[in-house]
Amino acid sequence: MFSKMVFRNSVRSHKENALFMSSLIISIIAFYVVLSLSSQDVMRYLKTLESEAIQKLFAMIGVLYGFTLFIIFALVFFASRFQIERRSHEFGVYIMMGMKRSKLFFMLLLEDLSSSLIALLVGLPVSVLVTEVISLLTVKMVGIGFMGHQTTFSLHAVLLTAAGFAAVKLASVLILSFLLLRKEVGTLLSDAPDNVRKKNYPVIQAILFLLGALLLILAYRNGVSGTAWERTTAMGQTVLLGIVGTLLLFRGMRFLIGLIARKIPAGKLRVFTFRQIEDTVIFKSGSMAICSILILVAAACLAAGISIFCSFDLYDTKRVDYTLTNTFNGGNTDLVKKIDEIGLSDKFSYLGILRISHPYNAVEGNDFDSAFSGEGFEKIRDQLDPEFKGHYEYRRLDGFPFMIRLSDFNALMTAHGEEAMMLSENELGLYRSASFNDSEELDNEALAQKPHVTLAGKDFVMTGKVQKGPIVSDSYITLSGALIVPDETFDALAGDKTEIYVNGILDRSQYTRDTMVELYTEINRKMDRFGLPYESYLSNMGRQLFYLVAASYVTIYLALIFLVVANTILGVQFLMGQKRTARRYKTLVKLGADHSDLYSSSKKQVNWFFGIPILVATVSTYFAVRALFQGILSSRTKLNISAMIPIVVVVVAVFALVEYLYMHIVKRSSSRFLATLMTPEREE
Amino acid sequence: MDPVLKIDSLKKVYGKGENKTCALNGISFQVMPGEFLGIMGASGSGKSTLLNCIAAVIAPSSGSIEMNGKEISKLSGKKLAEYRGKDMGYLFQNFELIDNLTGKENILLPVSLHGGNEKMCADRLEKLSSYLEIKEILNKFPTQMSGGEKQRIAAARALILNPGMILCDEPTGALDSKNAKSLMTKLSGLNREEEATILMVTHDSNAASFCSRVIFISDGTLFHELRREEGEAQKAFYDRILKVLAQLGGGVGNVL
Ligand SMILES: Nc1ncnc2c1ncn2[C@@H]1O[C@H](COP(=O)(O)OP(=O)(O)OP(=O)(O)O)[C@@H](O)[C@H]1O
Ligand SMILES: [Mg+2]
Repeated sequence: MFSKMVFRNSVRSHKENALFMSSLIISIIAFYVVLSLSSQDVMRYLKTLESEAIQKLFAMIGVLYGFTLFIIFALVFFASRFQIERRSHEFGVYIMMGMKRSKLFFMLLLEDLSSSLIALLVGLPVSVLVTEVISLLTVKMVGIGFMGHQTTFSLHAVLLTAAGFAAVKLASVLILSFLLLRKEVGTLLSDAPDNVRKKNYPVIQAILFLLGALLLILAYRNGVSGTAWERTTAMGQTVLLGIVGTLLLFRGMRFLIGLIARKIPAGKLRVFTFRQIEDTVIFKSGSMAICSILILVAAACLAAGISIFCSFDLYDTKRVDYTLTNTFNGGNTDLVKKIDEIGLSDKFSYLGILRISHPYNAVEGNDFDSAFSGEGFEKIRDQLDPEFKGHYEYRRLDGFPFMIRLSDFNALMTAHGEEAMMLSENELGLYRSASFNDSEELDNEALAQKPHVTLAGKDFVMTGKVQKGPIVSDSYITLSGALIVPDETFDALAGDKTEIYVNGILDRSQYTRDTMVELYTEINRKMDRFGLPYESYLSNMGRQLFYLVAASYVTIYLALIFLVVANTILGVQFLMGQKRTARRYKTLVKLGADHSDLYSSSKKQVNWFFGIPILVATVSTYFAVRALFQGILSSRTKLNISAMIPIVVVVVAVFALVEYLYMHIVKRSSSRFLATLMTPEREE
Repeated sequence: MDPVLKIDSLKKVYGKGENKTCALNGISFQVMPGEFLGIMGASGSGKSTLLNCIAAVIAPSSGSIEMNGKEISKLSGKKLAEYRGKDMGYLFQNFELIDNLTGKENILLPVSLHGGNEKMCADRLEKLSSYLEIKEILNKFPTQMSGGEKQRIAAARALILNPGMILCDEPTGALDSKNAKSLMTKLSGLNREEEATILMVTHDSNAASFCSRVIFISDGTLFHELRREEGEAQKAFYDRILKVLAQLGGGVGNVL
């Protein structure tokens, strides 16, 4: 009898609450996606390149798992609370009928168990499917199809998912039943009292609203102008402005709703619908604001994640594919011969050496700082931009700079398809690695004035533009500033202490975007076999790929989690509010309203309840994304506006779909709830 | 003159087999236009059931209910909703006001639900609110009103569409004697001036003494009927009602 009741209750509650069930299933997917990360094809591939980074990733999975546990707990707790609260009357009746509280607790526990089992039965297969799709998708995007797909299914992940989910469910049911059973029977039996209407102070509302809008505009300005990125405190300030602004905006929203919602035709129950919307704005402004912020964070994360992911296109970048260096075993020219011997030279369109050194022969005694003086150059820069002094101290040329041999450099640049540098005997060029080239404009302006500098006691003129093309395959040799020096001067100053690099650029006609990684893998294998000391661009790419994949994976994942949490909160709040104010609907039924009248009013309320936070979040997202591109993304991804458009389309489409689904689910639940109010019951 | 409402051998049986309850057992009566009819009876005698049948909220087991010559069990869909909304006005014991609508918005709800001429309704609202003395509270919310005010708002709502008949289920049940008396005065005034037909279920013999006719129900059948004579004092009518109630032996009414 008891178990039958439990079973009936839980089946009924699943039917009644699609929102609750979908929250549970999404929780399971969230857990599994995190836990199966290491068995994704991309990650398996990266393991072969970057085992160290993968170690970091495993540490990150732990953190992510913990975070997910926390967020999912909030989600499940919230959804279950609604589930229990809507039945408090029923529980009150059980207790009145003499059911012991311990038995009621046991009943709740069993019901919870059965709902968890059903959620797992549905959720786990869906999770496996989702991760498979993600895996195949990333493989396609990254171009490592040659690896062959391996299923992401992992028993370990399944078990941990079930464990995490069970822990979260158990914790929430324990807390909730504790809270429930502590309540007086009377409180359980009575429907929650109606909210007392607060007095309307339109002027205060308007002030709050405008103040909120003002703070938001300030936050937007900080973000878009880039000031937010200058210091952590500025960023904190911007975030705070945004949060407080949003909260105030929603607090004062009643002012705006009063102006707008009244004018909107809303069918038969226009006035009632308006009052209901007004009520939600009055009583739920806090949760609406928080959900709006969550949606904003989700959108920003999604945009960032997708653009990071899309920026992964190393195919088109200028690069040195291979660099061989062998400082110990004598002549490096041997290396070129060796490559030819093992039959790899026809894979390269360019194969040549690059010599780098310091002005050793210009050093007098131990005074290494005296070989070079770039004061003439620095002075011009300081004049051009007084602020420069403080900002880029480490961009100054020091007294013992790197030198790059001009003819070697020109050969490589020509191979990159760039113009060679023309330097006469008393001229020097400036080179900075791309990652240090943030003062390019200023440098070029200074160089245009042909500053006089001294190298080894002789006068030189610096000229040309700053050079930034890659000079070796890997980013491990990066130069914050080096001189490009004519051959004779270089040879005279470097002496025999020269580092020689053999650079190779792969022949573009031998590979495509999709076979690039495969070709690297093949050549690496051969060089390994013959013991050549090489660095390939692939390991650099692997490192980048790792950060890109990990960063985009995490941001997209967080985006979806935040989105789900925000929508669940909104949905649950709405349905809970509707349940609390069921009396109003019952009265309407008594006055002759039919289900379609109530339903159309309820649909409009859902539209507004979801619509307002979404609208505010949309506006904020526009500025947040611009700020993101302004701040962190621009230097990394160099995305232009036209590249942004498809990303924006994807983000908008994903959001529209998710929001539509959630609103639909909430409307359906509401319709079902309203149907239960339709038969006017006897009031005695 | 034709009756507004004709009820003929109405039966209502709840439940099946063992649990069968016969709430109405072939009751018949008629209501003439402009009548103020009181319905009294012991608890469980079937009063609410009768009212719900008339309001088409529950379906009778057998018998007929004719409203202005139309059999209401034959109504369905739009016609039924119209009947409930336009031909009937209700007054409930617990007022049934919507707490987040102002008095005025509550009164106008039937207009938006069932349609009506805005101009005419505005005039009618004006007239009703001054008669019911609720002008000052039109823009208040129910939580800011007293019980009597709430019921007067509810009365205005019941009358706004000028329905053929007003059904009241213990309208004074939640009011103190002073408020009850003032409400009944207003209702009987409306009955006289607007010739509104009113059907009122009540336990309160004071309230019943405002009626032009009172029928007494016992075990689902008509037990007795009292008609207030032309020129009869209210006090005299009240005494006659008490007498019948005593015969009914239910210990109802003012008897402690
Ligand atoms: N929905 C129902 N299901 C079963 N029996 C019912 C139902 N409604 C009413 N009854 C029974 O029908 C009989 C008449 O009930 P009704 O509510 O009409 O009485 P009443 O005269 O309004 O009583 P009261 O003065 O207490 O309001 C009672 O015996 C009651 O138990
Ligand atoms: Mg009754």
